[in-house]
Amino acid sequence: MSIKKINQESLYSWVDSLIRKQRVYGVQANGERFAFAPLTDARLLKLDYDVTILPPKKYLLPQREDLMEFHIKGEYKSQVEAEPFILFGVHPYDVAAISQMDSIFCADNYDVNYMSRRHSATIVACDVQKASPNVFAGCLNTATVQEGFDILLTNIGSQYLADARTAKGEALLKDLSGDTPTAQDLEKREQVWENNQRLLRKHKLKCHPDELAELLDRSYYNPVWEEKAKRCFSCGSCNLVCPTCYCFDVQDDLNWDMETGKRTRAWDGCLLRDFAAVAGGHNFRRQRADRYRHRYYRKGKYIANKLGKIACVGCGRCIDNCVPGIANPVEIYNRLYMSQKNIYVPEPATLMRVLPMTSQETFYEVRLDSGRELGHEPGQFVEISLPGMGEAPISVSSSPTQTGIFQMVVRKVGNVTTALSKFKPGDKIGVRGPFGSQFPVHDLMKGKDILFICGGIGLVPVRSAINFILDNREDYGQIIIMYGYKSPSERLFAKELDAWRKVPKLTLLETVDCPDDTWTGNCGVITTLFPHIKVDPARTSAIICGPPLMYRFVVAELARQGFTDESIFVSLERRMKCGVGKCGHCQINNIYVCQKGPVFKYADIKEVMEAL
Amino acid sequence: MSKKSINIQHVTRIEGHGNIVVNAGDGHIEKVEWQVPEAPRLFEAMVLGRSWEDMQTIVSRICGICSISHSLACIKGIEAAMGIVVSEQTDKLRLLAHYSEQLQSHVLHIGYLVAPDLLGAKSVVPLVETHFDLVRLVIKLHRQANAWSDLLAGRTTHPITFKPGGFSKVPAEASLRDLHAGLTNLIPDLKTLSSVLLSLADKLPAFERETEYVALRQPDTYTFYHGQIGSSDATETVPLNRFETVVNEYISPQSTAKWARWHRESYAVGALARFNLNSAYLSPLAQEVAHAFGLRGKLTNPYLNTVVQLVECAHIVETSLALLDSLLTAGVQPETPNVKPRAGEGVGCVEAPRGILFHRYAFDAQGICTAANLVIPTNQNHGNIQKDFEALVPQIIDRDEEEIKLWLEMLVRSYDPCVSCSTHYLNVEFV
Amino acid sequence: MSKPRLALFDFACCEGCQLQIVNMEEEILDLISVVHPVQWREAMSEQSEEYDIAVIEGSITRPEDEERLRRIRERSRFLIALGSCAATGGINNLKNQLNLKEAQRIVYGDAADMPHLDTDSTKSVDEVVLVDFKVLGCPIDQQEFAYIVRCLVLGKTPEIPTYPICVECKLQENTCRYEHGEICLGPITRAGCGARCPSQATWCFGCRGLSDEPNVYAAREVMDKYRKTPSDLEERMALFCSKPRYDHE
Repeated sequence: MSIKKINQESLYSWVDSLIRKQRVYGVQANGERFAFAPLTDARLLKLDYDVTILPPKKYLLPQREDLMEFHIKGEYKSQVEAEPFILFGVHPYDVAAISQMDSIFCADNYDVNYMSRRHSATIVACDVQKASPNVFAGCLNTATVQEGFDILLTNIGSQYLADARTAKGEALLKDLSGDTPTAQDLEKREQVWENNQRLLRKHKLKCHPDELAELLDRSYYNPVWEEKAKRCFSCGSCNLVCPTCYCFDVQDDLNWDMETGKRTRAWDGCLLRDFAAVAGGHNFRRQRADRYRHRYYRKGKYIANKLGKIACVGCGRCIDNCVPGIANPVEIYNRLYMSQKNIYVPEPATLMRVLPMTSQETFYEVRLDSGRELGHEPGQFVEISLPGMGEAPISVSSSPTQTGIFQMVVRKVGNVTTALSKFKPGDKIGVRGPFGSQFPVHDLMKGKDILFICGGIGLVPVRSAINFILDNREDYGQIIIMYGYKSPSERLFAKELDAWRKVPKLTLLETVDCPDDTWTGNCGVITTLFPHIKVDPARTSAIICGPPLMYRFVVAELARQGFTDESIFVSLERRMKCGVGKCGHCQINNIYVCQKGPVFKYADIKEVMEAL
Repeated sequence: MSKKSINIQHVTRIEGHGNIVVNAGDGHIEKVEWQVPEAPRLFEAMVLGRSWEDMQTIVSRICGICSISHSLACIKGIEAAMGIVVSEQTDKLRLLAHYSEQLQSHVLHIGYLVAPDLLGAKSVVPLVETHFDLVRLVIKLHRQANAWSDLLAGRTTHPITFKPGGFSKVPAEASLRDLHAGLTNLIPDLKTLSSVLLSLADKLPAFERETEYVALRQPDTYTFYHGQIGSSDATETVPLNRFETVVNEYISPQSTAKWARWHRESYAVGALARFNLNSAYLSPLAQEVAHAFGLRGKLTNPYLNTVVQLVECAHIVETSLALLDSLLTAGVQPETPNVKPRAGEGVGCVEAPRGILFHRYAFDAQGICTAANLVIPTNQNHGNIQKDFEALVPQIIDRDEEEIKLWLEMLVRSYDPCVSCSTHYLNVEFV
Repeated sequence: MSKPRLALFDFACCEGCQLQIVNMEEEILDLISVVHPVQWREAMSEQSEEYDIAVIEGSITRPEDEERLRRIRERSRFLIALGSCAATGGINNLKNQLNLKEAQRIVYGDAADMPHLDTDSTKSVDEVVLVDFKVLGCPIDQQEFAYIVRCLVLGKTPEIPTYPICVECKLQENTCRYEHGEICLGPITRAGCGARCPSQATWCFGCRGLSDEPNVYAAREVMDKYRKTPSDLEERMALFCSKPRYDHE
């Protein structure tokens, strides 16, 4: 099988030649979003789309299709469609979903209507170039695929690699003029795959997908079903947009001659009220919660038991399209997972790297022994446990885009942290979490310029957000980082700071309180940096993290600059003992900092006594 | 003369309910009455306290046949009240949508409601057997007109896309090109319909009664959409925001709908009024059709309203082709209206297919409607229908009852009344 | 078997639903091949009091209209409520939220006391007589009407969606109106129109009435997420969704 390297122009002329030969359904703009639609001109293709509203299943299992024509005398004439067509630009998670539908319609009773259409289809897959807001394919191993398609396109910069994996794909590729890719090109593709597996995780599953079936077995009476279903419209949106949902209804309609007619099947959804209702009126899933729960069982258990794989590919469409915002499977499965555990028992982890940073602070890289991802968001913290010493809340410093491990920087101030400072790589620690709120990188900060204001060790949690933003660079505007610390010897992440200085559209300003002989930069408290920056408060989010004393001055300065309380976010420190909103130590007024915080919108705590 | 008692409860083949009551006996006519007993629907009260955003949705429900006109009058009223200025593209697309309704409504009136009278049938149903070609022609015109409304307004009845400030969705250029082709195809069909109607023109009763004619006027234009209020009895036009001085509405005991009078006891609105004020500006094809029917100068036979509607169909199609050309030359840009409400009062006015239509609204700063006054064309015609009856009945009272009934019904039908707008009804009663 | 005779009657409404039947264009010929129209005031002068199927358009707003409706029911084997005004009261329900005497004074001024201007509160047809089938929508969908007529002639209960508009909206691949900051009644309104309004880039205003077991609680809850208030929702629901029921069985 061959791989060709092509530029945009030859891609276009190739697609145009395909359009002349066959029906081609390609991804195109649809209002502000994207949809698969009949392609008439290669230039309308949007291969850099994030996600389509409906998955490409609509061409394999149409929304409505005739199964047969009939005559009321009892004659039936089967209708099977089999005209060849090309699906162009299918994302890997959708390829995985199609493979799963294939197993369903092929197994047990062979569905000739689906299968003949499937055999008529040529699938040109395309690696994801832009992550959609709710994609979590990375957690389900569907961010990249190696089978289930005929050709795979990968954008490796200014060019595409077109990789034929089947005879059908090979035949199509014959007409495409391109070069043989170099080893370097293939390496770039590997890099795209690795990045996508890392980056397509806007939500993080706390457990391994294979554990879900068993987890669900024990969750039938979990209160989450009732709680979420209360706000469920039973509108079936999550069913319809799901690439692995395939349930249908069958109906007859007569023609005007009142003798001939058609029997058609049309998409249905198990969330819809009458899905399990029978003639006579009994409904086997009468309650909203019954239907809501059924969907998760079907995805995570029933299909998983049948096929050995859960019926979710992490496309995130159900999350995108749920008006009340209750359809996030990751949230549900994580809730179930957490409710199975003794929340006070840490899980074992191993220190992978230990590097002293300053005289007081040490950098640690940690891997959970279970192999699962920590699944944190920027701004969250974990409880680090040393048996005999106790627990301490520690901010996570690495970006969630960095998978396999997480990082933290710990200052030795108490029993736990002082003991930890003596640990070596390979030593075991306990971890609970992640806990708390996050910097709003997924919503409020998106599309904005970002001003980070960090004092001392406050850089540690903020670093997680900064690196997350750098990994999703196109979603954000200018970045300004103000970093103040006591003396040059306390500078954290020295190498990384120097690297940030070279990043386009990023400004890093530093200041110290007590300069030494080598220091040539700014001296003074952090607010002395403000005259050096230019921000448009209307389009900027400000993030503040540092010692308690700093907040009042910085907030006052931001107000002078024209920032509203809505656009300022602060990370607060409190005594967070349990991390799960029970023990009461971290409470400010009616707020548990470990739950609602540590990150707060300034507007939300401004008036709260004791907060600042 | 024998005593005559004709009582037509709910005149058929018109929109809404109306009764005609005529009491005649022993050489004198006791009573000739046009009654409108349609169930009152109280729209002017129903819109109070409602949001400007929902206004168009509510008032388009006044009438299923001229819902586009009602929507446009409403939107123009809101825009006048809130000082909203729309783009040239929006203005053209709305005019195009408005034309589509004129064609739709005129074809319905000529083909489905009036043609049976001229062909001696009770309805279009028997014509399917006897005059299939004509029925097919009418269906074709009607279908094209409806497809045209669908494209611009989102559907033919109760438009969806009209918003204060613009359109929720503008049509694709390719669809406008298809529309252009479709309308071009209609021209020979309109010529055919014209010759069929010409061959039946002698079936229209010869009855003349000069009255006041009121319609929109705009310099050098046969206008349906822009301009000021004109009258055959006045040389000066009246600005829209003074329309109450034109309509002078009053309540008649014969009617749940309000009646109107201006310089005389009654006036007429509709195709005939538009023609009498603006015929100099008809398109070439429309002039040709008018000429074929010998329509010249001031027309005073109310039965000719139907013929003038046909003339207008030709004008609409020809004018719309030019409008489409200019839209396509400029290119259609997607525009999303971005409008904030503010307090104010304003008038919106268009020519509905059956005559001039006024909407006045007042809004508070949140865009909540605090007052509304809606004056519908059929309201304005009720008084004139009554005066026509009073003039016509003595002329025909000696004829046999069936013919009298037919002539009176045909007279009402010729006004193409939309009684449910004006509130709803029709009946003829001779006692 | 002889063709069932169909008669159409209009009450308080805009008559836009009968117009949709006219708008079936050529398909009317198919329609009259299945049923025999014997009375249809807007389109025909022929009138017969012998009919099997009565189609009722419009809301009932006066005592004399209730009488007329009862007589029609007695004469017919099947009765269809055509369009929202007949099926749910439709836009005329707005009138029920008014003080009627006050409303008449607003519209008719000092003449409001004249007896022929009297009107009662709006009733849907099934508040007066038994209704066999409802054709929802303002205006109705022609294809749905055609389907219901065919079912009736065949002797089958039509399968009208019990689920909300969102289903059809998703199938059209529309962007959700809530993403545009609009209050859309799609999540609680009965499907069947093909999500006509959202497909024209505007909110659903609920002309088909509420779906079966609409989650109005959730609709209110969700307002906060989109920076609206429950009273904003109720304002919009007042137009067509003020009567929360529809029994299609």
